[in-house]
Amino acid sequence: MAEVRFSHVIKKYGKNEVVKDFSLTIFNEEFVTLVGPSGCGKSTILRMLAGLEEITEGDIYIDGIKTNDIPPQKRDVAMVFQSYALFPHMTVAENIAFGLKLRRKPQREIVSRIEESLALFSLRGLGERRPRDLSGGQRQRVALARALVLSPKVLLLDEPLSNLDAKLRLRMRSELKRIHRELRSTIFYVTHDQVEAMSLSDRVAVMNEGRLEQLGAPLEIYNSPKNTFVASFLGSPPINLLQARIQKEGETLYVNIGPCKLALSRQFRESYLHCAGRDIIFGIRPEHISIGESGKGKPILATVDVVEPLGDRSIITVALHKIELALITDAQTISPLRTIPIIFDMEKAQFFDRESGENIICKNR
Amino acid sequence: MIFIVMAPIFIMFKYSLSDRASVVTGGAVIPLWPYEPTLEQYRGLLSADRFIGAAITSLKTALLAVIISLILGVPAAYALVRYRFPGILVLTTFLISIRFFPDIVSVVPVVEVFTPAGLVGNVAGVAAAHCLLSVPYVIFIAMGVFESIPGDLEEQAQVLGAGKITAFFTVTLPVALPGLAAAAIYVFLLSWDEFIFAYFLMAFSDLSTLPVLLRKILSWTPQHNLLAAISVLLSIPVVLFTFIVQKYMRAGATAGAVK
Amino acid sequence: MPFLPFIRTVRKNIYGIIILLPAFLYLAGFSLIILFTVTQMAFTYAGTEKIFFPALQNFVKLAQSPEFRSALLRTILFTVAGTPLELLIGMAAAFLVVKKFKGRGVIRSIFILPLAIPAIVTAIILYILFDFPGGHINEIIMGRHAFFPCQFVEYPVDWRGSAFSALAVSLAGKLWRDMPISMLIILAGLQSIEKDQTEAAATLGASSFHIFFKITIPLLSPAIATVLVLRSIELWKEFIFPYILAGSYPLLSTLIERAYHEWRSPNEASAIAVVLLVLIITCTMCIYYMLAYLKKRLVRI
Repeated sequence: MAEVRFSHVIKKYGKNEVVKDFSLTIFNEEFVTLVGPSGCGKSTILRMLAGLEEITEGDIYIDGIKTNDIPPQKRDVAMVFQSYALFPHMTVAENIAFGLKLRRKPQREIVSRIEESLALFSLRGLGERRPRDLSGGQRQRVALARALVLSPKVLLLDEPLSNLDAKLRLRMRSELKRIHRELRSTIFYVTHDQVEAMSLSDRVAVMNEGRLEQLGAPLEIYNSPKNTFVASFLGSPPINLLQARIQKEGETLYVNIGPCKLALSRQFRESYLHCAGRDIIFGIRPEHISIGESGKGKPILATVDVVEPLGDRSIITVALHKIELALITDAQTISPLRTIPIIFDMEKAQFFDRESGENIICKNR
Repeated sequence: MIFIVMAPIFIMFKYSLSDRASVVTGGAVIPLWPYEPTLEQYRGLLSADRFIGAAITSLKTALLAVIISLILGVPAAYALVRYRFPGILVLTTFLISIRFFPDIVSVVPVVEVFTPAGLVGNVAGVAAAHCLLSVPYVIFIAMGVFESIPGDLEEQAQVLGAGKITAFFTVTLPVALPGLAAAAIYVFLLSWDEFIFAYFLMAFSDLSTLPVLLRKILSWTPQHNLLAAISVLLSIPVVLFTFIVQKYMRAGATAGAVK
Repeated sequence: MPFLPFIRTVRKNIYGIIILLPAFLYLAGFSLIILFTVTQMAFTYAGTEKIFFPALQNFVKLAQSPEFRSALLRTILFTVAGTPLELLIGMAAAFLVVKKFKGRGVIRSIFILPLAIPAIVTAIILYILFDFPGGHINEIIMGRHAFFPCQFVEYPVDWRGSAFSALAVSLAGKLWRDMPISMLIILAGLQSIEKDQTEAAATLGASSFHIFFKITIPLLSPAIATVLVLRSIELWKEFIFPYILAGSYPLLSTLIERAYHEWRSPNEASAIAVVLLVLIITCTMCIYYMLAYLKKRLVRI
């Protein structure tokens, strides 16, 4: 297992720059996820690391060795494709043995390694089947087994769960986590699904339009997103982003959203004082808005628009003077068109610059 | 419509089984089914050197055409699918649309060019001319085959440790094989049926492919049952193979490989 | 260095270029040689003492020969009559098998059968059927078979003895053999029309007549265009059927054979070939532009 370092990597297709100055280090035994909307260049980065795509500028190091010009078959990385890319003309066992045979391992070792990995991925008894006779989850596990049986330095996973149905995806997610814990492999994972990114990784890298927007532990990114893109990309339903204005009246800072006026508690006064009188974007996550009179802060009245019950909780869209807001509650008795009091948890709120979309606090840090 | 489609085929069989009296009736009505169905014509043909010779010539020509077309066409199709360089679309269109070039227009220059090259009156010349017709088809069919094989498979093989060439021979080629077999059969049939080039290139030689033999026999105004019997023997492999190819094409070569 | 990007592209795709090259050289080289030779021969006139090049004598000679002029006329009529028929028959067959019914697979296989019979065999069968004086067709229309009691003619018809009937029989053979190709193209077009679209039209109150002309036919127009273009090329250059069945009434294609084998004049044969080629190209372009124009009009309405 190994350490991977991207150093100022750029990828251009003609004049079109799809990856812009990408730098990232994946430490030994770490699980790093690259997440972003489709077309943001995340798969390209993965393919450059695998050697399937040329690097226009910059370098990639595996264990300190520059790998730019090493062909894929000599990089000692393994990759699981979104489509699994199982070889249809080979049995499961032959698929798993493919890489071992190319490495000229002795027959006896190949057989025992196949047995081991069939057991590890609960594929016992399926060794003689063809890929077309397997279920989606089984195919996925064969693809993983085939990659991991080579004990690669890095395991690359390109949206490996996106072809599974929702139930299976949940199971494979915990399975992946277990495999990472047991094998202690360095894993570089690419997905567009923020839930996968949050739940699986040691660190998450959020990408947009070829740029690395933010890198950090999942909760760190969730709680203090660097800009509006990262804020709205993570979390479902997404964060509420509202046009607002910070105003100073006496010693207190207020956030004005439409006609509503919300006081900021004292502890944040220092951080936002310099923004007084500025237009900002006010971000608050749905779970940080509560219904009721009690709690920190003054309740505001809002009209319920849509109620989407999810069972244990409901997503409620309310209108606050023509501004739409989503919130999550476990109250079961809310019905549309009612007027209810809501309270914003101002300690969890985020403030972004209106022009740049950058988080005002992050920038000052 | 079924009747119109089937009637000529029925007539062909009927004549091929006819005895002499059912063909040369001397003015009496020709029966719809021969008085005494007989395999005499087939027996005669299968022991006639001339027919056997033509059949062997046809076979040799077709096999040679298959080999040349596949060697030329399959790698080209692979390159056209997997490589992306400027102008490749124009090139593909050009190569494939050569099949629309009228054969009757090209046959005279082909004979004129082939004569000094010693390619007239032999199998190699006819096969070479057939390849002009068949290579565009092979490129077309093989491109479809390679397009249906996801590039992922090859890249996966590379990541697992295979070089480009190993990846092609261990993964892409075996998966492509059924589709390429269909292409091979197609070329075989094309050459087996082909008349114009074979006729012009063999008109003044002792060598004939089966279609050319049919034409040469026709000029002696032979009996209908003989013509029909040759026709049946010429058609049988085509009918068989056509239905085999259909089946092959339906059996998706990549079923289960992805998703 | 303007060559640098070019060299880089070549180097990056070097394997691709290497494996593409043999087929490219074979096809491109072959076609170039053919085009070059046919043009050179067509414009070469072998006089009694001297060989002239470039010369238009071959064409002049052809234009003056009644044989060429009637062949040209026949070819045009053959194609003009045949192309729409190819389309209609193909459409009829496709509409028959596109609906699901019991035994559709068998019928479809039967409809593909003509494609599996070599063209020369089909021509030979027609040769036998329409023989004179004793072919099956003659006997049927003379009422000599019990199942067909109607007597149309008293004496057998010499089918191969008149230009009209000989070419009609050739065309019938050509249509019979080509039916599956047109059918398959139209069928593919029909199957790409989504059922939703016709059903949506039906729920909106369109009659089946309306659906056919306002939805099916316009959506089918790419397939129809393909059939028209491909089949007209095929008809221009059709050789086997007229060669076997209408030997005394040559089309341009069979005239090439006659010029080459009987007149022993490769140059005149090439000149006819050039005329045919020009005709095919012109006609294909005409059809293409006509269809493009029609499509525009259809879309506007």
